[in-house]
Amino acid sequence: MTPLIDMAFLLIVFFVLVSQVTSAEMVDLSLPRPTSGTAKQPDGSERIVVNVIPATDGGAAGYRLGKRDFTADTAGLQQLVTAIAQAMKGRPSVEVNIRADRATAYSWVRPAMTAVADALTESGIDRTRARVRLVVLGGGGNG
Amino acid sequence: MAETADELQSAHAARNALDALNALAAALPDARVGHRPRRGWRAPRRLRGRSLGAAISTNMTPMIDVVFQLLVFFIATTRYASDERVIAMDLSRRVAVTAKDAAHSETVAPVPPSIPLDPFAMRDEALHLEVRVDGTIVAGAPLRRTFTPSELRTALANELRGSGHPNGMFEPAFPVVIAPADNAPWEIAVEVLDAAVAAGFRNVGFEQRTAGTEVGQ
Repeated sequence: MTPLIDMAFLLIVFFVLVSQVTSAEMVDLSLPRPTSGTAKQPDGSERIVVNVIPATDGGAAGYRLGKRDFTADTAGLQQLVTAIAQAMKGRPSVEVNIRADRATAYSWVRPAMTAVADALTESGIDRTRARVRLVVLGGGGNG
Repeated sequence: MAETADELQSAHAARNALDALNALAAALPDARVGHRPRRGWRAPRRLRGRSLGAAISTNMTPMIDVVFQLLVFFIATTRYASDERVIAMDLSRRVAVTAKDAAHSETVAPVPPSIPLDPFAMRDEALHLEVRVDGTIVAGAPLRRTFTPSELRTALANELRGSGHPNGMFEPAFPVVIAPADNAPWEIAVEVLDAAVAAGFRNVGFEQRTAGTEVGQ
């Protein structure tokens, strides 16, 4: 009986862990760390995360929403807009987080923000109610 | 007559068998036939004072396993997102402005366009902050100054209208539009946004280009 219980616990731990990681939708990147410290703790509300997957020399290898990857070209961005609009459908107060590497050039981050803006338009959400957040690292500089 | 002889025979056999059993019992002192423990029976001294369950030894290994698993679980989960913060970005209210401002930002010239003639007429569109690759910030129309990243925060705070800043000319709700250069690292762009928010502006966003689906370059 004991090995069975052990295995059960192990599996529970495994799945809880995996679901935690995937729900966080974390791409491994080094976030910017602004010095003024105006960034706040995330309030734990419902959110969707748009990741800019970093490539070498400041480019982007693509974009990721949830578990879906999108290529960094016009077609991929169009799909990204549709996917964000779908994810926001029916819940206009959802928080949209944008994560990008600190070394990524702005021209690769801008399409992600534009995609969010386009998705807001597409899903007909009131722009003043939309909540777009940039994800950074805390505890930087002189606080 | 034969019946009584038979009875006598069998009774004799039975007595013999009983005698044999009693002799066996006497030879083996622990094996008692028909002998039950007395009512006041007590356990041998070596077993006294222990409960019956103590005879089953507790296996600690699974408990330790589970504890280790929980330990690993909490370590792994608290590492993720523990250090992440969010900056609220005003994407929303900027778009009506930025459609117009996009025309300005397309000009590569770092010098801001010289439009206003009346010094008291302030463009009520937005304060444009152009971020270059090396981190210097060129402020647009009303300010027309170049900042280094380190001085940006205090300089912007001084431009806010309010207590202690007699020269300030911006309301906190005045929109600030940040327009980083294409190859400016994201870190610098976020730094400028952070500085503007820290200075007290409440309405800070990135410049949007309406022809937005172009990537990279």
